Amino acid sequence: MSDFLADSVSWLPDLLRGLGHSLWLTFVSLLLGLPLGLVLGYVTERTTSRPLRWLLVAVIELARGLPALVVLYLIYYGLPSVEVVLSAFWSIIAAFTFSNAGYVSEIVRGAIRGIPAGQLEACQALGIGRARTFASVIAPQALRISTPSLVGYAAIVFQSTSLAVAVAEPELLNAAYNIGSITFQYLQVFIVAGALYAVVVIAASRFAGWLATRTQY
Amino acid sequence: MSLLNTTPSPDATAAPGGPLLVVDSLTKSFGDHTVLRGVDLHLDKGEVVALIGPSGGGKSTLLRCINQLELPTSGQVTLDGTPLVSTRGGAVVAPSAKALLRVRRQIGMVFQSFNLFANMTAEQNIVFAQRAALGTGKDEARERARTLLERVGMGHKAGSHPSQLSGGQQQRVAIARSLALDPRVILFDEPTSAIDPEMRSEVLSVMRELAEAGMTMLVSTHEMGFAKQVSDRTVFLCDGGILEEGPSRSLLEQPTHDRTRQFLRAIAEG
Amino acid sequence: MDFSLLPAALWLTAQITILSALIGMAAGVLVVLARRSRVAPLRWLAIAWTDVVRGVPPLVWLMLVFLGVGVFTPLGAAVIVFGLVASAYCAEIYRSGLEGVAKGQYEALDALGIPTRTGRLRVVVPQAAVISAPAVVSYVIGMVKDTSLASVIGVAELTFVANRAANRTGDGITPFVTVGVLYLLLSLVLALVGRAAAARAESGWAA
Repeated sequence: MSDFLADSVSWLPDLLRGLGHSLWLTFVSLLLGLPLGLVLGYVTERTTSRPLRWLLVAVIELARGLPALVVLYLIYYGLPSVEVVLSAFWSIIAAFTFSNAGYVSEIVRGAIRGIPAGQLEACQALGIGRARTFASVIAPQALRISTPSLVGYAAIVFQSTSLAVAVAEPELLNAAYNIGSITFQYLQVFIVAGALYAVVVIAASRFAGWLATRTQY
Repeated sequence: MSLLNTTPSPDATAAPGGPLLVVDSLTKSFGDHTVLRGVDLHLDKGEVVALIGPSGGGKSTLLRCINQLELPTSGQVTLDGTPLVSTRGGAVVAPSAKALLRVRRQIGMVFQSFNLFANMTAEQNIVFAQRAALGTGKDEARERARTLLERVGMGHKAGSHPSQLSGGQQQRVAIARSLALDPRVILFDEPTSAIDPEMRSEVLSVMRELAEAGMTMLVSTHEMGFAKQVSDRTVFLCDGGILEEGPSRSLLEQPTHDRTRQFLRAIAEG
Repeated sequence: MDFSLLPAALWLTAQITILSALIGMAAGVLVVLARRSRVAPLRWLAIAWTDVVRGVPPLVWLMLVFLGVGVFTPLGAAVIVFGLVASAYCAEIYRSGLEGVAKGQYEALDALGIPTRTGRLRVVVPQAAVISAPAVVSYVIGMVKDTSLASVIGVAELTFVANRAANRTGDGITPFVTVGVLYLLLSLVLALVGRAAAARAESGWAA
């Protein structure tokens, strides 16, 4: 037991560096994926053009239906065949942004649909313009409705950064795997790494749950 | 045609003439909030009592304390001489599960929101209730279900699920389900409040037949017409206490209290 | 790429999905029973289980069980891990299904004097099952994608086969587009089966 503790402590600097990189990957892919998803979700839900709507729905379904790992491989191993070479880091960001945008847009679409039709009708009855209606009435309510789901989703994105191990990006799981392959203490090192993931994820979902109770009108 | 089972119940030997249901100084508080402050009420066998009063005045809580869906804070409820509320050292305690089941099988309840089992058809609701609560045999339960559905005018909908029935139809099935257990008394908790006005009469006429057949009924209601024509007595419950009670016609036509008068005027204008 | 490898790989993906879904749906019942138990330590255990299982990324579980525990074949480790992860998610789905049963249903059971166990079994559980069914179906469809992670520990399922083909041929597009389409098709099939099953389960009564 004391060996386990001593080992764990000695691994901690490497693992924490990996954790930092995992959080960085999460942050960058959300930074790109969130706005993209917001716009995608809003346009899909509100556009009057049917072909555009179908196209966007297809993109969203593709983003949600394909395994992120396959998308990652396709970008990392596939794009070079067409002369587009992305580093492991940017391949991961591109793959996650694509998947994230799909999920975020679904959350946003749900939130927009969750706003009672009466809100929109009231704006129309008052003669408030479309842009103003979106900015002052729809967006604030949609954001308020979807914030807990988005925080919950951020936790899932963080978990999925572990996929980066497949392209040898030095995030938390990769750090753990490297330690394991040197010390052969796979079980211990994965338990410590798993605990690090779990702490972040459980904290984030508790926070999301707390937000959800707070954001009800 | 009688809605009631004509076989005499085994309790028929209890003191004749005495009230069937007695509510004695019943109080109920939720935390600091007192909902019932010492209610006394009695129902004779075959009597129909209407319970009227403003929303939030404690009508629903009173009914729910009688069949122990809520545990009273203090007081006693007696059915045919048998106390229903368990006490220890003067304080009300939760009764044993067995005692609860026994109490509730003798006291029927009809809810404002019907509460038919959503996963069962009308007939299955009634068959299941008899088999699960009384251990009735399958064939007997089914036959009784059919008879009861026929009597509440729902024989043609025996195979329908609650979601396929109107509010009035669901409530008639719920009444049949309650009757299936041969209760000594039935509590009605605003049975027509959740039903479209044009569908209410079908439920009220079933209740009227039930009253005429001699069922003991305690009915919380906003239907003053029903109270006046069907109930023997009306009780005005307000702020957790009985303010006034008397023969329905005289109470509803010449209330003595200002508060009752106010309430009846508001209902009439409603 | 060698397309003749695909049927076996697709079958393996389907197998992992179906086996672990069955394990998860069954084990989820045990977890939700513990979660709603009257015994406090059982409840805590269930909460800890759902939190920890869902808090650690599935890929970490795969490596922990395959490399760390080290007694399972890759396929065995994958089925165990996805099954256990599914048990935590299914338990949460069942729990909200149980919470979705209207309060009035419990009151009616009480008012009729129906024994608790009978009421739960005949009224509450059937309704909760129908409420939970769509969420379980979409979770299982999501599992199809998760099984791609099993390629990392060497299960020769779709992603693994595509990856190997890409490495051998240098063509990184055809294999991954091909298996991408197969994943979508598999999800679609499951969605159709699930929808038919759900429609059958709630035929008649669901509001």
